[in-house]
Amino acid sequence: MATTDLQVGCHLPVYGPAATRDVLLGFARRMEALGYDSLWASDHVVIPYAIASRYPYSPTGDFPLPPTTNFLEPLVTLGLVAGATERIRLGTTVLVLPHRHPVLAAKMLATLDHLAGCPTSGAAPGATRRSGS
Amino acid sequence: MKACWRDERVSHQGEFLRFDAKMKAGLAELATVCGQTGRDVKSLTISARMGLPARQDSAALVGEIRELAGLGVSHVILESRVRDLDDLTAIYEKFAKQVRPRV
Repeated sequence: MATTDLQVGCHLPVYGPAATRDVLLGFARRMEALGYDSLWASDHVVIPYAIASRYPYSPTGDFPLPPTTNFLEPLVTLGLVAGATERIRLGTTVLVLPHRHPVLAAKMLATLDHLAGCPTSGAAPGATRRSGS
Repeated sequence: MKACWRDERVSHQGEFLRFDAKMKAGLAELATVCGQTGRDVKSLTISARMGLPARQDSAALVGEIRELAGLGVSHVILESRVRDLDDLTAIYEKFAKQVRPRV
């Protein structure tokens, strides 16, 4: 029994070889069964070959994934997971807003809210800047 | 919110909320501003992402999470770089059984 009302969530495997339908569904169902409170997806619409800015979430400042990494779109991924879970909350750790039209992004989040209930969306302008941009 | 589409780095200096680069200072400032505007800071959900190593030191994780909770974090989001489903599931199962009950 937890000693505080702290909520604990886990990050979905949305990139690399694990980013498949079977893995995502199996993982999401198992995490819900284990009692986790939330599942989260991160967002990189593209991974540039040359990144001019320092990536703030790695010790070296380098972006940790090669540009050829398959990286799933988070809202579509959460739609899949919503159909396989009942209780667990869904959200994006970050949604890169400049890559999306704001009205469409709001519509997609509202749809997820309607179908799955209470998505939580972190939003940001993006953590990587392509060289020359 | 327009700055989220326009700027590379967003610093929001709003009436009810201010973002700060340093987490601890930012959370302290958030609590202060909430107090000044009559908003209960506990009504906000403050989340923090946390790396979950493959070889977990349960005691260290408990301490780190309690420290975050003490700063006002109410939702911890765990992340592992492990990509094999069985290994990944085992990591989260271990956390759920050995760490979660102690925080």
